[in-house]
Amino acid sequence: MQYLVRRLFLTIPVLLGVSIIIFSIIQIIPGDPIQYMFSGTGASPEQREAMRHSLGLDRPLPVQYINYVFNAIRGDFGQSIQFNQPVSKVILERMPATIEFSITSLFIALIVAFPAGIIASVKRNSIIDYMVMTGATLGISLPTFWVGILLIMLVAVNLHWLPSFGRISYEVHLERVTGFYLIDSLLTWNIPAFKDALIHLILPSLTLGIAMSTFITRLVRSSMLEEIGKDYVRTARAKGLPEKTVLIHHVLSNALIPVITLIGLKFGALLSGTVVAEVIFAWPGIGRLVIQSIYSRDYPVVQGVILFFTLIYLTINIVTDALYVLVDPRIGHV
Amino acid sequence: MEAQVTNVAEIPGKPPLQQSRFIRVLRAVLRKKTAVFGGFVLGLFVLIAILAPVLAPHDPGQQNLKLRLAPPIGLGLENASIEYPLGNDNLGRDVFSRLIVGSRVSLVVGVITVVLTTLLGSMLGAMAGYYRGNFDNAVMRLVDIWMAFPDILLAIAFAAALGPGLFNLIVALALTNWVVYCRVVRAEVLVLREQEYVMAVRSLGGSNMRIIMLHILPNVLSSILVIATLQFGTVIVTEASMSFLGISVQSSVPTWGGMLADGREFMRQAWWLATFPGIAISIVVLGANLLGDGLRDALDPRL
Repeated sequence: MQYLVRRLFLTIPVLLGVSIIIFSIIQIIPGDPIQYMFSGTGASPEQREAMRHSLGLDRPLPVQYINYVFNAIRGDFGQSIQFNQPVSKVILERMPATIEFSITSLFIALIVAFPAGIIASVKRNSIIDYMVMTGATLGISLPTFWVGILLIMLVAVNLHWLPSFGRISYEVHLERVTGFYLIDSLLTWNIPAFKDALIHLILPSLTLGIAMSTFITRLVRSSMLEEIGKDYVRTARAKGLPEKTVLIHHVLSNALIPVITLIGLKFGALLSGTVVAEVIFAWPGIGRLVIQSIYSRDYPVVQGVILFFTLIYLTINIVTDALYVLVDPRIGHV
Repeated sequence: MEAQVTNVAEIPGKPPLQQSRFIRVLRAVLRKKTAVFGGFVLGLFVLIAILAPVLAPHDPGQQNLKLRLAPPIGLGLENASIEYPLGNDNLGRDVFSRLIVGSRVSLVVGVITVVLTTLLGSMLGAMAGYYRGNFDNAVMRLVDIWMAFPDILLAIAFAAALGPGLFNLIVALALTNWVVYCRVVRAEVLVLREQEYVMAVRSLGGSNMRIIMLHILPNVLSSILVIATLQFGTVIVTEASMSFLGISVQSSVPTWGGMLADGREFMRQAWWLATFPGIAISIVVLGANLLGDGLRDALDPRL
């Protein structure tokens, strides 16, 4: 517990660092947001300056930064220029889409990667092993966005099996409760909407899931192999335990530790995958939002989303650490 | 997998030993068919990129609206012409030529970014590991911060800040990717700096810079080489993703990512436009991954 609290405090300097870097990058970006805001409105220079003053953009940079941090602590990340709404509202509205999408992708990745990795390690150097490893190596080399496009071309455009964009069909009505469509449709017992949301999730999740599974498969395999070679496994086998028990109770539970950690550490990269995938599938999440915001120079949103992604990443790392302590009690006491 | 590499205590700086080690590693890599295949693919890619102006049968920018969305040959489709083996895009430009010329951006971005990140990351990592103390702490906190960014967003943010252009794209990618090298090199240097030979050089009056550059870094080289090879593929995919999103070089220059983005608009009528650039990217990245895996097995089974 103490260990986790300490970890929690350690994320504060990281968050501050991230915010300083993002703040600085945004300052270098050419183009004046005020100019952009008033383009084509015929506002007088005085009006522009008044807006600049009201947004605090005429103050020295360090002051702007400190104001930003204090406002952010209160949950105020500024005002979106393109939506004319608070950044936090813009992000929170789209966040469930991204989380729902990430979780289903991770789910697909895990149900593919765990059996594949375990079988490959148990049947080491067999044809199955080679097939799994070849598949994983090939898969790791395929750019995620290209896999997405191929799936759309094949499954959506040619076969018309699944929808290729959006979270739900226009004609399906769903009452918003949590913003997670699968949960909302179940809460309001709207089965058609649940089905519709689910089939919209398949292609995007498959795209990202394939990308994640290649990496996790390799990880599970190598981690299993490392454990299988250890003395305690020989002991367990020697005392006559069935192979299944040895593999599941002994090998797998130990092999899980590095797997969980590395999935957590790699989550940043996996989140990056959502950005491109959301653009391809017109998925209304925060990944697509940040790209739109870069195009339209909506820097408060860009800043907010990157901070938000960082926060998710750090949270996942802490959760990973917590799981780590659960799986291996020795760690918490070091 | 055989342990050709004895260990880091092997005395560095002695030419005969280094040479024999090089040959041993080369043999180990050559024994792996997949690694040889990877090396072959990368070599071919480099050759194509360098010779692109000679190899491309047509001007990649030349438009011919009569040939708009003409299909590739070999599928029995109408309008296919042997002169344009992979078909034509929405402006009637030759896909094959654009693919060949597009390899140049990928190669230049891949190579220069990897060289820059290697220099930046390894130097920072080596100095952090060697000097320890406050410098090390500062560098490692910076690494923590960098790790917390989703890579592609950081690269996109840098690219947006620096503006479009090849050079700016490379700088953005280099500023994003140095962390891996820094972490690995630091970890290895932490061990190496305690070795007796380092103390020997120090007692002979060797300066810190001399020790790092001549005695420590050469011993980390194998790890750096492995990461650099694997990173080459990653950088090419990131570049392609950014070109795909339109945050990259000017759109007049053909890039594989840019071709994919254009092709996506026409995937209903012309599937080949979004297919071939993706195959090209995948093959090159696969080559880098196979060679990287082979090198890792030969040089450093621990990585």
